Amino acid sequence: MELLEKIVDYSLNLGADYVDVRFEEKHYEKITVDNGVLKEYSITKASGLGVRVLVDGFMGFTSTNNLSWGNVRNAIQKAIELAKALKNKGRRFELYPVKAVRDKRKSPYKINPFDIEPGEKVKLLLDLNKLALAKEDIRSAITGYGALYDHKIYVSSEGAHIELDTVMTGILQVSIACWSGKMERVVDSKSRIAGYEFIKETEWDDMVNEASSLALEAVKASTPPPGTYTVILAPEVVGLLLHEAFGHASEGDIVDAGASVLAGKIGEKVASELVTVVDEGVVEGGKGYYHPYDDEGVPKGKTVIVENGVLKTFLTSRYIARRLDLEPTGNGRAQDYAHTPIVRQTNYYIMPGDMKLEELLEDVKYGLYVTGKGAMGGEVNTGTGTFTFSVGVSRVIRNGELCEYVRGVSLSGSILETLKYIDGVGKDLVIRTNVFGGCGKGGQRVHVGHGGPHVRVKKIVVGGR
Amino acid sequence: MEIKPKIDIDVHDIIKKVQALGATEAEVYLCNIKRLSIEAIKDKIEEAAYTHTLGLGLRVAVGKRVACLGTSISRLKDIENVLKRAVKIARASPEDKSWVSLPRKLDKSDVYGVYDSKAEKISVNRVIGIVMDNIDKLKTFDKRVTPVGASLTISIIEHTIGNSHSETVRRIETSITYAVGAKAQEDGKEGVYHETVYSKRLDIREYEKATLKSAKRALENLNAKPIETCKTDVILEGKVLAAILSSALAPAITADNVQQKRSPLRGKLNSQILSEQLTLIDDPTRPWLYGTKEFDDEGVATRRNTIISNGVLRSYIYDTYTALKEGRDSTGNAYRPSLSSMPKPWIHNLLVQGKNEVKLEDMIRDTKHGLVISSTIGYWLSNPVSGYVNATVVHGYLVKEGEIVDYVKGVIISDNIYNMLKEKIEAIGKSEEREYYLNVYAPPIKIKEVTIAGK
Repeated sequence: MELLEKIVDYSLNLGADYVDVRFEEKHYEKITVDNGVLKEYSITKASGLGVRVLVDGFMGFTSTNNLSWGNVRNAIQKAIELAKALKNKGRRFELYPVKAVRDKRKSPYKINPFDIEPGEKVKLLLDLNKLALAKEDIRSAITGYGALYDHKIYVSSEGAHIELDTVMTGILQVSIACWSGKMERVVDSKSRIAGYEFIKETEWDDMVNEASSLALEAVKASTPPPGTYTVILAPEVVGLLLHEAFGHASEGDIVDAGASVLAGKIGEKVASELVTVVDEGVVEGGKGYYHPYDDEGVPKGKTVIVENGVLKTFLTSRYIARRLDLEPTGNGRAQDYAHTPIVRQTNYYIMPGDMKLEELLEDVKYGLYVTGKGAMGGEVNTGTGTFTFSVGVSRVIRNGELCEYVRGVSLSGSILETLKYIDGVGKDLVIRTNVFGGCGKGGQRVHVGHGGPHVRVKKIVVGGR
Repeated sequence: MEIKPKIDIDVHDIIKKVQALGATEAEVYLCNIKRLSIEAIKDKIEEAAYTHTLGLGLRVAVGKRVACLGTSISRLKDIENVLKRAVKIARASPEDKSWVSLPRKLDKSDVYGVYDSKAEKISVNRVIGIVMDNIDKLKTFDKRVTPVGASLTISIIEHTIGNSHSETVRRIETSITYAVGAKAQEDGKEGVYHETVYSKRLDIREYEKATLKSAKRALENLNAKPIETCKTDVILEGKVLAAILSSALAPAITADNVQQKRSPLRGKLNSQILSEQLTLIDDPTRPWLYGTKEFDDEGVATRRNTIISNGVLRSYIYDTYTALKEGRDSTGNAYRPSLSSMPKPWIHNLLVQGKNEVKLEDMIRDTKHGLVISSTIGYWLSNPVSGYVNATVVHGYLVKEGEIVDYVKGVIISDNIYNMLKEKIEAIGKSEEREYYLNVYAPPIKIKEVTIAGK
């Protein structure tokens, strides 16, 4: 787009030392069938651009979705005015030098999901929803479809020019069972960096049936007595735990703000030696989110955060890399053109170990097998190191055997302790991403991926009822 | 900063165009947002940002087939594209037999306290000054305390809604968010505390209060630790009760969850669901609160609704769709999570009132053994379908024999909300001591025998 180059030139002429421009056009399609009725068919299109300037080292940012030159020119002037207003009051926004990249990348897909006739998608959802409701005592069911097309162009005064296209699709199932006056819900979804072929090739009946069956198990289950347990975490829960309990604390901007318990701990042991943690921009098979470059034009490869239990680095943007004197890791991400990049995780996971699930179970006399279907998410206070998350329907482990189901389980612990309590890591790596949601931080929401293999944790606080 | 949103788009012109394409009904929602944000990290400002977004939400019906589309408007042709697509999708959708019509009459209720002209006129330098003044307050509070950061975000939002049955309604509102974080360090120990102030008007004194509170509580958090797993009396500060109600109770009073059999309050109208000491009112007409407004997100005039009166469930909240399904009027509670979303019922300002109010300090004095919970994370993981509440305490006080004896963090409170707020209430705090979480305003509350999962 010539407009972006023109913005760069105009900003430099107005006295900016540095400028980058991000244009974005994003389409999101969401279809929801609720108890047999099409509840929502919506398409959102968001497009616009964001201009980030440095003047005497201070940063100003503006965004607009009115692309007429007169309006864009005003936006640039405003950005420069804001940067100047910070002089003597703000902190210089120095960017770690990187090589300017020119590249064009597209996430692989075969069928553009936006080319599929609306009627076909609605019919699929109506069918799946009917299936979910077919089981007795399933009181309510929601089936959803999501498709994303995200087109981004990044241009900087350093000569970078990157175009990135991302396509993602997925289906979501919520089944609510009612039994003996009690209700419980199970949520499951599958998303992939792929086109509509993913929707066509996946056995959605299995996912939907399983969600309804689990909801029926869950509603009849009791909650476990609260206390401290040995738990085996299923891969999807490992991803959630890791993302919340450790991932956020390893984000360099949180470290820089003095709000992470991991600050100053590079080179120290922060986890059991069985644990190696990485953040990777593009993972095989489209199972994670697609992030070959960040929103500052920095390539994102595979960053090793923890190696055999030892903290190696933090995730960084160019600014944070400079502040912390670390390499840029390609983690400067913005929700969209209207936000500035901050440090975010991409696909964050624990590397697989060598144990089978049976071997992990074997040594557990009494504990919980914790799964993620029905999990609602989690949250961490990175400063105090306390994390919490709600997990899905789980099962009691007795003498190495999986026994009765339990529900309403939430886990809580301390970042610095929990990873040290890991005493078994499975060999079955699973990575997931989600077209229906993402991770929120600083008022910005981005798609992420996370995962790991089965993991055993010796001690974790379980809140039952 | 001068922010004067002005939309030069004729809503009824769009409606006519979409009707010409075959829509039997059409609704247009325009949202024009200008936002200034100044953010300090640690002790200095890193970011000054100004954003402007103009978006359009469109709901069209072809008979009983309905579709919603949303778009940001970069060029006028964006609108034309959306219209065609919306009609196409509506035609391809199956009939919704429950569909009756869009709202027949759009109107405004008589409300003030929605728009603060001072917030519109404030200069960038003044906003920078407010943020830096608060940073300085943290720096001078105590030598163990340092700022994590502070930010002030001012938004001016213009909403315009029209549909094929009625005239257009329009309002301009201000929305201001101040956030602050403090950290304390001593002998290798750390404590952190964050506060957020949301309001429709600039309130510099509130920001100072939040700043000082975050400093004090960060210091207290230096020595906070978990307690043993137990059942004990719990005093939830207003903010904590508000957050829990927002996640565990508010979804259960919405008519869509009730109609779709996802609410435990289905079939419970006029029955005692909470303690007779509790009254919950949704009041969008009260000035300057987070959700104060003259009309809802489909242009229906807002009104004060008593949801729970002395513990008895009196009303669910409705938008037009869920109301017409039951042959009644909307309660003016339509909410659009995004421009392209179908509206659904949601609370505006949920106010909690108690009978026989007791001061917080008296509640503490009357506690033999218990916890005062002042900040939690994960409360949003509470389950409105089952009523289970789970929240992890990140700041709290241990009370013994009426005195605060220690600081607590890292324990989980879990119980069922209806259980906690029906039989187990010991005392409810004063209305003056109400705190809020987004749009829920609640006093402190004392609940007996709550399960605490700890060490």
